[in-house]
Amino acid sequence: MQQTFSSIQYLVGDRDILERMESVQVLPLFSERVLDFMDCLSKRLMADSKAKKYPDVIAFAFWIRRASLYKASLPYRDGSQRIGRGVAFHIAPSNIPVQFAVSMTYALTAGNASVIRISDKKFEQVDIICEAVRFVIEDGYPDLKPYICIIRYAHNDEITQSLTDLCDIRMIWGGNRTIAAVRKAAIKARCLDLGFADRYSMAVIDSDDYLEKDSGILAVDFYNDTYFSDQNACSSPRLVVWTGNSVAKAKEVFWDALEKVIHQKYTMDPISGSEKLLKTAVCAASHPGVREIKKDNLLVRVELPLLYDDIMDFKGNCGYFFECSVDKLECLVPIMKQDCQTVTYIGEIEEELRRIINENGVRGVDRIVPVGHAADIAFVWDGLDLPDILSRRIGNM
Amino acid sequence: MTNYEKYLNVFTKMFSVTEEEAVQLEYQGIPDWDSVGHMELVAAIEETFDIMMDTDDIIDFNSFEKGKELLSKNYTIEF
Repeated sequence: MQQTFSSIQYLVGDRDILERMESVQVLPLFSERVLDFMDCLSKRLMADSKAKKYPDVIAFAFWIRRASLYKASLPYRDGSQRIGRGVAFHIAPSNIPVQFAVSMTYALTAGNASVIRISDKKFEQVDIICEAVRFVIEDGYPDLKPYICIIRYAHNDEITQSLTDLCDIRMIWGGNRTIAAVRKAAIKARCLDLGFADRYSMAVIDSDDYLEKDSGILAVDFYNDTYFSDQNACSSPRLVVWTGNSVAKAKEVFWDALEKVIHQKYTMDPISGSEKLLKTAVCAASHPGVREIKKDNLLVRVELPLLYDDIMDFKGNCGYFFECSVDKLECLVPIMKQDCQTVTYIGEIEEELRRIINENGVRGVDRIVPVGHAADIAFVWDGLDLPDILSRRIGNM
Repeated sequence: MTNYEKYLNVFTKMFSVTEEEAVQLEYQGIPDWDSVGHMELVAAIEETFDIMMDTDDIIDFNSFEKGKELLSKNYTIEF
């Protein structure tokens, strides 16, 4: 093992810490010490002038501030005894720069030590957060030093196996291929293996309710859900479903308002732009009824005559949306498949969406949130109640 | 410093505006008070008054005036 770990690059922690991680004491769920640490990290990031230009870093800092974590902890302050499981090994995704820190927060607040492998892709957000973590540990939390290693290593099955041998929880964020590749490394008998795989999301808009609201604010909200991450996040809607009696008018207002925001805020890299040109042709080959609408390449809409149940096989990014109108929300059932993660909505339709899920026993949809909240960070993710799952409850019956 | 002065101070410092401008501010009324600015503002207000704001209040907090109203109504901060 010692030989294997020598080719690892440490952004936080070091080889000594990693080698001793198996023997650190686990902490209670949402321990005061960890909440204090997170709050200091939050303040450090909020005050960092470099962080200000990254809304995702600020959103992470906002999520880990004391008020937010305390509120998240309330459902578990029920008199039961909960404590960590041991070591969590995280494989962070390459599409969402701050996800490694979110994953670390899940594990640490649940009382576990963490070794986090981050992607080779260089993001300034990663450097900003790692620097802040190092600073806060040195400045006032040396006792938490043994709990955090943030590392990079070139693809190496031997290292992945050695780290897997250490861990009691493995959290793999990424595409299905990444998950399959990591899973070649066998886990310990009682290790929890959580795969956060590719998902898709959609927005459902009640046209009548929409027209009563502020289109400018909703356009910014929708922009933040989609364009901000180049529509690459699992929770970014790829499909917009319209319902109600004023669909034509609502569509016009909605896309016009969005276009204004895009022109103010968005720059697209040329490769994504050229990829979008091909998407519709491929989709139209198997679904001849589709119609593409675009003024320029920043916003491409593809109108569907009906909701094909395989439509997400053709999904695009960087401003590529399917859209479809339905008479009733029941029509969504065929696309509420296992891979469907988030449904965002505008209008008074949340309750009905929840009813449809229950009555039809659909396998997908793990999250229903208003438009503007797709990218919010939450402790219940992909249908998993993470504080509960990542800790142990010590029973008394 | 009175609570009002502390509150005003958060706005003038955070958004680099004068006191006269601060009292008129609304969410998304200036480029700095966007969704990121809002998170920074809420965190600063929580720290200044040593409170934890509810999600509903964070969403409802859409102007200088409204913020004052929420703080006095829900967090017993007197202005």
